[in-house]
Amino acid sequence: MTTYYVRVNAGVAGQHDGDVFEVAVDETSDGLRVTAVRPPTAPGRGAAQSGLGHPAQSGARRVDLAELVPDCYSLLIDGRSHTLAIATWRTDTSHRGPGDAAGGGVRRWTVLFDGVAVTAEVGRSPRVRGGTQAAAGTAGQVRAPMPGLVVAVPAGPGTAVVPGQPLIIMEAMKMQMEIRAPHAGVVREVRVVPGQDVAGNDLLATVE
Amino acid sequence: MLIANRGEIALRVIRACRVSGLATVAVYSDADRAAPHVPAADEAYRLGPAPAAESYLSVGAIIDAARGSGADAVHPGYGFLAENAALAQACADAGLVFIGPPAATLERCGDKVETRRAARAAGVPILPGTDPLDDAALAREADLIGFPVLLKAAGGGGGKGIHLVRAAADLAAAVRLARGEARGAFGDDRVYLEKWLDHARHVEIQILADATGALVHLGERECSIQRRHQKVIEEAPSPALDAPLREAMGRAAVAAARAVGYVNAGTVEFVVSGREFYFLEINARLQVEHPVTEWVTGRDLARLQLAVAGGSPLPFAQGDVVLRGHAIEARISAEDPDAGFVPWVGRVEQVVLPGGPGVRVDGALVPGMDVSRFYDPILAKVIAWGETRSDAIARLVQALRETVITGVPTTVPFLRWTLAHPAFQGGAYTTAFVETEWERRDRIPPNGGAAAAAALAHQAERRVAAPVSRDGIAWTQAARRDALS
Repeated sequence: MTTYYVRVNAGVAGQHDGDVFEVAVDETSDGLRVTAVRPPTAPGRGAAQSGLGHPAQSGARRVDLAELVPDCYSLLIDGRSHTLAIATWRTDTSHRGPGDAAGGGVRRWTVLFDGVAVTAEVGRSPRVRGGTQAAAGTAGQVRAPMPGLVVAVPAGPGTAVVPGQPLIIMEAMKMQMEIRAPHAGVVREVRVVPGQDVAGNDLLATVE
Repeated sequence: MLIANRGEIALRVIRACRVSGLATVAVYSDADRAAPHVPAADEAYRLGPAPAAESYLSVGAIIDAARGSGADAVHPGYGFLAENAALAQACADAGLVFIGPPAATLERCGDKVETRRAARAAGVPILPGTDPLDDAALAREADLIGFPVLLKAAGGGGGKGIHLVRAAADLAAAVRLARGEARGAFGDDRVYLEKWLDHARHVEIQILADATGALVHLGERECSIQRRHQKVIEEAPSPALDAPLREAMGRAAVAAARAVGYVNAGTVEFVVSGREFYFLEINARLQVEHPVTEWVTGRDLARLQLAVAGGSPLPFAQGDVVLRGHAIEARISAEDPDAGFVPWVGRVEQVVLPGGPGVRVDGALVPGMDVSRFYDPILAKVIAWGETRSDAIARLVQALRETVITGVPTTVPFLRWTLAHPAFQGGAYTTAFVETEWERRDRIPPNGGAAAAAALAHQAERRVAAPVSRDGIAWTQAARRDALS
């Protein structure tokens, strides 16, 4: 038996506000037996939040995952057929590297579960990364919301900015988008120049 | 026939040419040598570097390719130079047949303000709006018209350069973006204002005209499900129209088209609010969403374009146009609907496209294909037909369940969610749907999500503990071996 600590949230934004569930996984001849051994204590955050169904009613669930093609799975939960596709564009694939979770780290996936975006964090210790810790290091980081071309940098390093002030103008598929200051502050660093191609999620600038 | 385009529309036109017995010539940029439209044609010639301005938007390069290949005609598809009078004129000068209206008509339709005037003169209702103006005048006029207003590119189309402005404070930033986009897309940064109606619908009428002056309409398309003022789902007929309104709008569309001397296939766009309708513009091209009209009318619009451009009279009259059943199109684009529909680039890994009765796929989508940032992110269109609207919805839902595309985000999750939404199923939706329903939807993790996550994590652990090949379903097989040993 292996114990995992699992938090699931809807969407890709990674709102880290879901409860952490302790989940036991056993290997059997017809797939995995998955049991929530510690359901949430907070009232009102029940079965739907756990993403496991109500353990008291359903008990252990049989889960079998088969990779159909890379990053796309057939998922059987108690015989019910689901599709699971890894949103590779939102998932840091280094989290799938060796030794990560075993060392107490957390794996994070964004998946499309029956076509619905879900972000899941799974660790081997109860300390699945919390939202406050994650947010503290990234609060002033301005990242590319899409892959594209930087067309202008209206607020260079040292510029005092107000919330919503355009920092960088990007273009993709002939559409321009203003990347705006997340909060008031001073632009500490701009990592891109006009004419530069950037990938989605790349760090563009930092506002202090 | 040289097809001056790429992607799914190039393949659509190649199909029409092949069944008409015409040899086809593709053109490509450096980014597209391995794109699906290149091997699909009989011949293919390089236009230039990846940026559209140096390839698909280069009139000179296209005329050179046409001359070099010995083509007799040029089909522009949609987007790029489809509504560009310069290409139509260059074709005429080079003795090539241009599949579309003559240059003079494109010139008039391309000037949105001029077309509005012509429509109004023909007795077609229009919304309050302005001429193209400078920044200061735009601010003054916006106050007079009253917010919300829509900023539109005078030389524009395809949703580019369009910005909805709800308050005076937001106008300056929107003008800046609109001018930048319009300059990039059309080489013309003139923008004008139009009154914006909330809770309205976007309904358009397909028209078809021959060179002898015969002009018919082929019913409407409902196009209110939009993001970024670009359509995502279209259907025919519109749930908002009854026979008298359809008849009135059809007559208005024909009048507006006559007023600009229209020839070939085109679309007259309207905004509909209750039983009132207002002319917006004429799209002087084959539309992305033409398949829904093809299905309910039983007519091949791309082939009709070829016939009319070749000088043939329309093979049917208005009275012969009969609408049968219901068709819905869903556009699959490489965008992330969970993050504001931002366009995405990357490599398409896996592709499974749907099939079955009443399902049509127009696409240019193969595994391993690169989606580049240079062009529109549309990958494919899935169209379903049924005797009734609910049959068509059911078929489209099933088709989208069968659709698998990995490697890049797509609009498929949004399309599936929308088709299942009560407002869509009831037919009572407006252009605000994405904003009011999708962006504000309840986000509840699906039941089973945590079980799936635990299984994924366990799989990853197993791979670390005992690296196995990715052949077959390696991890479950390995797990079962272990369990049995």
